[in-house]
Amino acid sequence: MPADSLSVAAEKGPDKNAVVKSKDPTLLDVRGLSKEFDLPGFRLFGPKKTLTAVSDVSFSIGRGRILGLVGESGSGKTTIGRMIMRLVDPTRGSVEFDGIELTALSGRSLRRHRHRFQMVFQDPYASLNPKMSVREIVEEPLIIHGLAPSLPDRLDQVARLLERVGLSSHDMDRFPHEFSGGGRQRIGIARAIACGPDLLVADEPIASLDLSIGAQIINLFSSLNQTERMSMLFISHDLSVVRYLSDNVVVLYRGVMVESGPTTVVFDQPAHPYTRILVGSGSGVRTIDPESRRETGTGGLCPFLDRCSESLPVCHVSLPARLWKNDSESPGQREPRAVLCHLADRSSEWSPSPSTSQFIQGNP
Amino acid sequence: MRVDEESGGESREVLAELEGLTLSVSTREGEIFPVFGVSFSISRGEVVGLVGESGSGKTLTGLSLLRLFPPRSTVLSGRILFEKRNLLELGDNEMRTIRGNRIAMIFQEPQSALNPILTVGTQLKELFKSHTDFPESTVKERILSRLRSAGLPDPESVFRSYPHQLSGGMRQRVMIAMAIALDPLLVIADEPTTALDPTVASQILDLLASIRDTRDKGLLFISHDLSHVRRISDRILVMYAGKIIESAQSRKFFGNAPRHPYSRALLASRPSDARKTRQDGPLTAITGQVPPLWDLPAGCAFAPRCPKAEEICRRETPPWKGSESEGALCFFPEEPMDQGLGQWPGQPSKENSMDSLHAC
Repeated sequence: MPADSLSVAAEKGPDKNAVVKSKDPTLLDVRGLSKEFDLPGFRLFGPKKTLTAVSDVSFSIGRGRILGLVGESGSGKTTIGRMIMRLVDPTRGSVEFDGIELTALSGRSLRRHRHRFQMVFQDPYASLNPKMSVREIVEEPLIIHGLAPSLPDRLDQVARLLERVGLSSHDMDRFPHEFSGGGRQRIGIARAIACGPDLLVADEPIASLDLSIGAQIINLFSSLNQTERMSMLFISHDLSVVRYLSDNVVVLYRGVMVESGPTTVVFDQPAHPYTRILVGSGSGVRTIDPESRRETGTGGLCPFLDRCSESLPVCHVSLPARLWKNDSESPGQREPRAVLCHLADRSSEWSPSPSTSQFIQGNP
Repeated sequence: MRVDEESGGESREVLAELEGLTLSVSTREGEIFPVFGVSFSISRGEVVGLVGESGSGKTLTGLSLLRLFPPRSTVLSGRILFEKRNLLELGDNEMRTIRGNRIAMIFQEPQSALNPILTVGTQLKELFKSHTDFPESTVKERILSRLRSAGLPDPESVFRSYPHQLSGGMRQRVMIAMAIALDPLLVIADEPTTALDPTVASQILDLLASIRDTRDKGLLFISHDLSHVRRISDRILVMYAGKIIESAQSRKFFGNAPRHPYSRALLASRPSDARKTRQDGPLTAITGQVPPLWDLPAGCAFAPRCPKAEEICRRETPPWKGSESEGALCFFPEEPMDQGLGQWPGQPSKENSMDSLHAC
């Protein structure tokens, strides 16, 4: 990777992916992120009804790393992506992006940093303005952030971006409807990478694409990561894609992080019953609708309790504490391996405190 | 041969069959053939998976088994046989007694297939009223038992609910309950798991697979998700640009690698098959995209994207090589082989012995 020749000097280990551009290897640090939405049903003096979409989620993404966020619909993965993008304001918690506390920013100061984190949306049919040409779509972020003030400069940039995502500069004056789903998603990616972001939040970017096109787009993400060293939060319910693409993974269930760690370790040795079911090695799940208990909340117990077929008596009494496994396999930039389950209490491999970070999970 | 010993020594009775069905639709871009010379059969007790990308004609193929065709279309040739009767020759009234009653469809989007202003109970009651003469008093009991067998834990409350009050998975179960309500012989499921979460999809697949257990029923499972098709089907059909380009036993297709280059490329482009990570290099993606039906290339429709295409593929229409139940529409079909694909998670272990059986 010649592009990284400047930064290689700082590197000493054999891991070539651990190249560090600036002092801090962590690009994004999310701590205790929560979001509660108010539910309709207003009573003047009555208690406000809320829906907890995301509850106390913490993770970090290293530079040049890809973090996969998996979970079923309604598990809060999209809300987390949107909170990091500051499209939704978190109820609690902090989002630190390259040392800047994003939740404290607003208006102009937020816009000043926005070009550094961008989003690719799920549905390329709905997220592109049908009245704008490809050129207008891709150059808009350049204009807003004042990155290419002169017109020839800008056209040059747009052409370069289109070629980067596998389109041609002749496509500039075409409109989104003239493209297939894969082509549209490429336009969406070109727009997102237009101002050279450090972090790309991709929310189910291949869910609406065809079989043979999905692989092309996955390859594009992988190449953006490898050549531009873009960090990514990759949100998906397709585990095979997450396994292929991401270094670390966070498994969400009803807004709660039930398991996290290096992707291959989590998928090969899942510790939480829900993860085991997801990767297809668990015992059957009880038939209950995932949304049936969303409004009532988890009642201070494990969110997975009513579907879990491996529950212990203690699960009906108390919320499990987060446990960490500080094995030698997850040093440095790897997400520490953690699980939220009473089953792990019984094993000595898991310890109640992480070595790398000091936060403790779970509300009192 | 001992190939089909798994599916029983006796050859199963064919339940439904398409014979060279060609459908023409006139569009602004001209006349197109979304279903072209399609032939296949579904036997009793069999689950047939139909795979293809959007626009490949798989949904229209499924709908044609119900004799439902898009507007401005004509059947140019072929027969649609169901229990040895050609559906194309039946009168409208006769057809109406078959639809819903003998052949049922599970639609892709339960959201738009259910009536939003009627409760689930009302919609199911209507089904019984128009197709059966069960007394009013027993109908509700039947409906509740159908809802329960579709995996809805609290049928009483679902009965009273409006579609919007149910989640996606529950609505899909209601659709299934509706489809199996009158005990049809043939069920056509069009992408029933696409909009669902993995755990819910898995339950729906188990539910659909149980249709096979009755032995006299058949299921056509239409999907673009290969892992779902693999889990549920006995036989697999691959469609591309309106034609069936491969037909194979599911076990062999996923075990020994398929014969058509397109099917092969599809399997290879799935990261789950290769179990690779991005450090292992890029996925083998198929270049280009599916050609629009009004602008098909001469010769084989897949030739422009095919790594093995030769001169003749771009000039002439490829022939069907192999038998009707196992073959490919290709000049140069690959020989089945016993390598290249890793074991899938959740793969039934009996496949291993089958693989070695077919290797020779």
